Amino acid sequence: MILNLLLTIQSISIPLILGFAITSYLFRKNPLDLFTNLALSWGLGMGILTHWMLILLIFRIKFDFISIYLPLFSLTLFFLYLNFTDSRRKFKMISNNTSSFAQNGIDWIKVGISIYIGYYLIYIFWRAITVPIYTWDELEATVLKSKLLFLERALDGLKYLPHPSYPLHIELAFTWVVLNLTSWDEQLPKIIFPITLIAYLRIQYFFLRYFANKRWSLFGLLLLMSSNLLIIHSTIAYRDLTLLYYTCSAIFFLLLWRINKESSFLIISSVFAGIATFTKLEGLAYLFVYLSLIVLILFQDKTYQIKDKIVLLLKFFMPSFGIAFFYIAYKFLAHVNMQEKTQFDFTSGCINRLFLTITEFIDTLFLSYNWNIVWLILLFSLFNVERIKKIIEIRVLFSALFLFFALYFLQSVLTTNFFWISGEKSYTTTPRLILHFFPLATVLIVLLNGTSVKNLSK
Amino acid sequence: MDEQNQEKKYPSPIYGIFLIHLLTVFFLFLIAFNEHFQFLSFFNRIIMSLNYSDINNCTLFLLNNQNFNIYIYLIIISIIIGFKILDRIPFLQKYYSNPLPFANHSLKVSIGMFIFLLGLQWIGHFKYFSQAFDSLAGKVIEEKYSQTYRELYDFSVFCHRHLPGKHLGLFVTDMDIEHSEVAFYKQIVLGYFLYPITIKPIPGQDSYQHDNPAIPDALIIFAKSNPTKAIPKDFEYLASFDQHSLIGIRKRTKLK
Repeated sequence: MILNLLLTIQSISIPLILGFAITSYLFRKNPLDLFTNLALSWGLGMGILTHWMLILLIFRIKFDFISIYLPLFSLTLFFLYLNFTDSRRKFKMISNNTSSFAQNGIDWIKVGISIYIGYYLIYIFWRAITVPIYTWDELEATVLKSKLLFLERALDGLKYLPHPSYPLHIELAFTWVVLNLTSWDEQLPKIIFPITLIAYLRIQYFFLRYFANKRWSLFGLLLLMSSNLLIIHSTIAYRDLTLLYYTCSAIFFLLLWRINKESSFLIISSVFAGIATFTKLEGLAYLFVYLSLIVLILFQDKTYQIKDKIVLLLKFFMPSFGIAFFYIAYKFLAHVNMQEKTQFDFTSGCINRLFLTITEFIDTLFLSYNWNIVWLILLFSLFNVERIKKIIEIRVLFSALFLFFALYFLQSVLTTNFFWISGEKSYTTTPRLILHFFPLATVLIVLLNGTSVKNLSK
Repeated sequence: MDEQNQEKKYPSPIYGIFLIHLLTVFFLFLIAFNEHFQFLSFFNRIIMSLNYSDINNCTLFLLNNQNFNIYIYLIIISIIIGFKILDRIPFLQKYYSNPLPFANHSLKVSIGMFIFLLGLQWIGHFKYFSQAFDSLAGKVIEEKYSQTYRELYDFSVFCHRHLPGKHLGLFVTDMDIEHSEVAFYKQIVLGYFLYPITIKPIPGQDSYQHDNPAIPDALIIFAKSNPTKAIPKDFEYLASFDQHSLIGIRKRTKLK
């Protein structure tokens, strides 16, 4: 047991250190604090790792020390070397915004929120590594595919399993932990999900601290952790939590880039947007949401000339679409069925579906207990029109929410996915789709109501 | 007058008092109109319901045929309106002479309710966590699976014992996989545990796996009446799991 735990820690550390070496180099001019850097490193490291594993599988190279570990170690050492030799490199261990208890005394509200979040994190870790797999998608797709990848070390068998066109990030990440454990295990590899949640919490906190004080930033996390659905998805091998991590982080770093004008923020946002496409099919559709947001940001920004705007757009477009294109190209060349979830249906029922879709979304947002009453609080927050007018970040986040909803509205009305989004099976799908962008609602509540929200718009 | 000063003049504890008051009225109302109403079991039902989440959706229970969230929203609206009425009472105005604007007021009430619900959620969750901890502590994974999936897991263990290694098994069953979600789920569970034995349905039968064109070398008969009669002519009997399930192998196939 102890050996297995140590091997699990090893499997987590390798992508984490790789990601850390790269993000430290990427943010060398504008260093992030240690925890935010680690939170980003997790997503980046895992993204690189799973893509590398995919390349090995495509070229039928077996997984061993030389094929997996050596390239990862080399890449890590290369970036660490760059970090240490770069004279411009600055190290920052903690955030500038941190205020100590000694200065302000103990804030019991912050302590209370931290205890609440801490309790759920303990539960999530316990559940993830104690409850074996039992859910539909784990048994049918994600963990079954991981089992196949671990035992066969080949992609061939995947075409006989359900959803052959689904991206493989989760399956490969799970396989990676099992490879380190050396024998098949269904519990310990699920540790990647609580870690993803913790990484995401840090990123959201980091983003909120740009605008709000510590109390409101923590309140933002409390709103997030009040979601039953988020809690349960942090303990099972589903794709939704990981997609949430990449989607929302990409949006936050896009907004931080707007403030900082540092290309490192734009690049990380773009790379995360790309990795999201390798997490779940929906990630591909979300690319157009991010693209619309960056167009909106650039359109409102008068400091750039048209030429600069095109260059910046390309800077975002190239990595994200490049990563997305890689897996699409593989599927095309390997003759994997790519029509899953993309069949259009323009029959006369489209109009009827519009009403049903609206009803379904209202039901899921307001009459389920997936999100506590967060959407109602957001609704009341809309009265704060002054802030909406003043702060561009709020408008961009609202646009993002609108685009996500519009995307699913169109999907429901115009494609056969109606069955899943607003039809017979909607109860199994719609809440999980909303989960991908649910954190935006919690962030908006803080930005709209926080008593010390800074207006950073220029 | 800035926002912060306004907040200070408005005594926040009164929100809590009013909230508790309204909730008490609400529960008394329920108790009064339902002679079978048992407060503790009702409270228990609420806190467990606020916690329960299956993997896809956390649906709240119905109370008098209405979603429980409706009652939560009614309480919020009652408090908002109640406070607006209190604002008009001259005697009380000295306690909060500078009422908040409607928007801010609604927000505070909803955040108050959010925290109240969070408390209930936490109580229920703690109860659930301790129960789950007790039931799973010290158990190895095989025990957990055997306890949850019973014959599905035990059958797959049996199959692996008699058919070690990778096989493609022709799957024969009486389960109505095409129409019953439970049967379909059972097939999925079996498919997972059986791997690296993959299952291929008999022609015309629904399956969650895509049809593998290879010729099956094994036979998996599960939940079938008279299973021995269901053995196709090019397969031979290998071992029985129970009176409804057995495994077979293609004739002239050598096992490793």
